[in-house]
Amino acid sequence: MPPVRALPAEIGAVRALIADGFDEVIRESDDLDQFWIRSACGRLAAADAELAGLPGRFSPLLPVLTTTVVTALVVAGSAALARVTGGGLLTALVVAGLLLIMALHIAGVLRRRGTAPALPPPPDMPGPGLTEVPSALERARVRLVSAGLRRAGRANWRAPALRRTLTADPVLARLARADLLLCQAIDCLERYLDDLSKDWP
Amino acid sequence: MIRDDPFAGGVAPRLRRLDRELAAAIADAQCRDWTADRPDRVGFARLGQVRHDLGTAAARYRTAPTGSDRTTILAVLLAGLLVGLPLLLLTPDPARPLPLAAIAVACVWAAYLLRAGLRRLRIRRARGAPDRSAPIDDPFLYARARRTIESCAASARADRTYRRRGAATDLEYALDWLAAAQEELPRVR
Repeated sequence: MPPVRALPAEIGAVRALIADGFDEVIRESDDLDQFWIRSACGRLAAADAELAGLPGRFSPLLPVLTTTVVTALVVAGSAALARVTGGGLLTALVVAGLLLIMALHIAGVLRRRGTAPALPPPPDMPGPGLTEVPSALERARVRLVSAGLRRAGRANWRAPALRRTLTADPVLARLARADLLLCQAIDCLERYLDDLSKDWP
Repeated sequence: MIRDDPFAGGVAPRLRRLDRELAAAIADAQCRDWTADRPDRVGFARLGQVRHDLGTAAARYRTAPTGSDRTTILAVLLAGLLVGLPLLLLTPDPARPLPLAAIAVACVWAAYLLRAGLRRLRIRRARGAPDRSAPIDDPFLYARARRTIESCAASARADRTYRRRGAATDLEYALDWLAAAQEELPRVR
């Protein structure tokens, strides 16, 4: 029985496979501005960024701590403000509620603002060719999916429970998004190769 | 409640409703692909492209992205009612800054705990739930999405704002991807 591998090691292997496919696409395609190639590169970079931003073991505690500190500061400040201006409990609660909604909205906007992924420089070693890239990416996808299923746990391997687990666990949600982007990249590449294989008049 | 009238409401709420429906269909199809229940890695990827283009079009209307999910809202309400209100009533003079901050922090932690508990409960309940047919196989999903996107594109084309007229182009891309998702073009191998 093979040893169960930890999630970070598995994700590292998947990212290495994705990077190999990415290099191959950039080296072999003659025109990077072609629609399908550009789309595939964008999806691959986005999937890699999604996997790179996977939260660590203790980082789920970080938003909890941030929310706690911000809430305590905002509520204490608005209570002091209400006391100074002579308002009662109701004023303090209303001011605190408005300020909290504003602060959480700003925090959400800041968190959602991602960074644009950058293309790596083209390497100069010869590779197996563009036609092998979709199958390599599919192997990467198989590893990604099995890592996700292992994380979800065997009890949740039926579709209704798995759907709920995907929305409940932030790590699994990230894995699912990366898997979606990877599938889109494979689809774009396959359509490009399909267009190439037809001999247009 | 299911509203299948594609002309109900403005463009932004229509797009948001369609986005929610598509997100559910994509998540379901992805789960079925992961569990090899209905192995198809192309259909949900193309529906994901549709959703991406819809998001680009909705961003031109400056609408907020999808808000908090239902579990979070329920957990916050429960925490306010079960923890915040009794503490406010029981504490002597709760308008002082320090006690009020302590009560708020207690509410926040209760909300997090309640959300985790509610999620676990929903997963536990879904384990025994009967499996229904996949929404991605539903032909009416595609018909509904196409009618909604077409009507939204018509409204966007007639808009007097330059920025919103640009949404019609994004919606046309979305229509292309929707047709590709439904018809399954021939591929290599």
